[in-house]
Amino acid sequence: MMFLYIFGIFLIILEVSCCKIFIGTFAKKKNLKTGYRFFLLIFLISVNYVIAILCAGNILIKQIYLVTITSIVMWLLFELKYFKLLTLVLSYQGCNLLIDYVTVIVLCRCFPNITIEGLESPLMSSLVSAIGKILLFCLVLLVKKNLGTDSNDVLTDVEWLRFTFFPAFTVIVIIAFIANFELLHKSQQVDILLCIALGLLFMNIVVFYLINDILRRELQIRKDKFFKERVKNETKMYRSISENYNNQRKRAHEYKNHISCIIALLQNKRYDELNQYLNKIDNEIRADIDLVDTNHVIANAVINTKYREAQEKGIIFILKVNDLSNLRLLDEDLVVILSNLLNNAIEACEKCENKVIKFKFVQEKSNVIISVTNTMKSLPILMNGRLQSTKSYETESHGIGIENIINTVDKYGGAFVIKPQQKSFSFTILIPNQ
Amino acid sequence: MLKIAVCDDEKYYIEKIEDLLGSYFEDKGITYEVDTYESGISLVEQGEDILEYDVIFLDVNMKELDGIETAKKIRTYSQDVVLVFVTAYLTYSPEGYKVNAIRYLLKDNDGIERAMVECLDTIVSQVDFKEIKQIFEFQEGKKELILDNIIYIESNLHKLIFYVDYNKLVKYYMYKKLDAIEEKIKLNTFCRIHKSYLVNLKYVEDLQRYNVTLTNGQILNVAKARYKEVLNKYILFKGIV
Repeated sequence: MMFLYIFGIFLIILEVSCCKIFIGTFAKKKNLKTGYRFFLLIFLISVNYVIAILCAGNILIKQIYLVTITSIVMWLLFELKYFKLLTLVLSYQGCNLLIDYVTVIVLCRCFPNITIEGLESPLMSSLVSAIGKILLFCLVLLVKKNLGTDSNDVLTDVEWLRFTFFPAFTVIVIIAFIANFELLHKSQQVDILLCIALGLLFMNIVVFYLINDILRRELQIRKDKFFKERVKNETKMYRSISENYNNQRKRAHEYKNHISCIIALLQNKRYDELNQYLNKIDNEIRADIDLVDTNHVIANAVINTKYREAQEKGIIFILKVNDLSNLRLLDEDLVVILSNLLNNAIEACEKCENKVIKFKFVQEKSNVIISVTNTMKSLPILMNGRLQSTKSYETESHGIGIENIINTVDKYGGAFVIKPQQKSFSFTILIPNQ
Repeated sequence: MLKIAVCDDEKYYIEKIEDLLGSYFEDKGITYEVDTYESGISLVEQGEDILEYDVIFLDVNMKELDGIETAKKIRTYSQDVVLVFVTAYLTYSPEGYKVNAIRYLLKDNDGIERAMVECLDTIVSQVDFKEIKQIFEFQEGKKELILDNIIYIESNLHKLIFYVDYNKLVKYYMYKKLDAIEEKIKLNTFCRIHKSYLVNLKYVEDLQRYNVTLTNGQILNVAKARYKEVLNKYILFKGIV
């Protein structure tokens, strides 16, 4: 019998927790000390229990007391106007009662040996209440997932479906109990039954939060991977800039030498040698001098590096750029977007015969437009809204490249469109100015 | 027949471009005519005759009147003539972007041939595109419109108002459903931003939640349900090189 009381307390703890999660979907928590918050919740649980015992007969009075006390405590815990909180608590309680009611009706309809009178025994009503709480827990989590703005819950739809096995199983087991254990002779059997039911309830909650924590940790690992990729790209870029700078300085010094050499060859009428010599330095110079200037150091570095790379690979690189000196984007973000876009374009382009890359990077009155179109051999596959890599090696690191771009674009409130076509692929990004 | 002008103060490049044009057009069997100018000033002196040219190749780094300035002067005569900048290096010149050149060809010996082919391909298809015309039966009579000149079409209780750009705003009226007209003008540059508006993206300056601002300053509402699709079309349009 004692066990029934423990069971009852636990059910109320569950109810109050669900209420807290429910309100938490719509309101922000107040900045309170953990001790104080804990105290309020314990207070609420105890008061609920007392009300449940005292007003056992009178449902209406019980609800009024419950709703009043719950809304006051929730108002102390959350940042929301009292009336809005009252509405939320009322709707929560409404769902609570509705679920309990529906559970009873469904049980009585589906199982002819269960009657409403049979369900009034303390054991049975506790079990019915347990079913109701599990369903309430699932409902509250579903509401939080679909309406909540906090990204703390990271289960996808599929994973959620797999999780629902637990509450579903719990509900079925408890229904089985109710349908078959009306007449229990020993109080020991009652206790064991309640123990099992309690354990199942516990298990549901533990499992849910366990999955949540595991997934959150995985998310963190992925974030770290993204970060590492970005750092790698940036380092490559800075190294390229510094090499380029050194080379250009060297060229300036060599200019004088070249001129003397040319004059000498010309004066000695060694025209063939002169021809060879000029071709040689022409190629060397072309390899180093920057052809594109957008008035933005980092953009220049990336674009020129990629332009040269494209030339070396025999890719026609068509550019449309303008003055980018007032770009809103941070250097590191710019590097992420440009290097990934252009790397992917060059890589895809290399494999086909007609190699063309069209690159547009302009700052307009209201937006920044970055667009890369490249010819390619095979059609890329879009699965689950994520691009599948056609690369045969290291598939993971390339998927991350595009996701990095998408995350960076989101950071600036921008939008993008990816358009894979028969023989070409385009990725266009629009980032608003404010 | 395509009339082309080439303006460069280095004879070497004038000849080079003429050669490239020659091989391209003879290959495609398109008749063309090339006029050459050795300075920006001599080109601009042609005044209104510039309108005869379909395409003008301009060297950016000319001594007296540089390519950008020449381009600006050309644009005062015509917004439609296709401009191609030929340059040793691609600088950002803000003015350069405003004159709306279709391509920048880099005087890079290796790549210039292939770049020229791509450039001419694009020009030929663009010139065709800009001349797409359709006949509409307005209340004012049957008229043939260049689709590219239509700014937007508004529907007001089954009465359609066509706002057309002929260097000044001209309105035409007809009684028809906007759906039917949208079906008739099947161009990617037209976007149904609202039940009552079919807009030519060329004249859209900015897109916000939930309206568009046109180049003439007018603001039209975008339907919330259509916003995502409109945004996609707008982005694709903006990304065209």
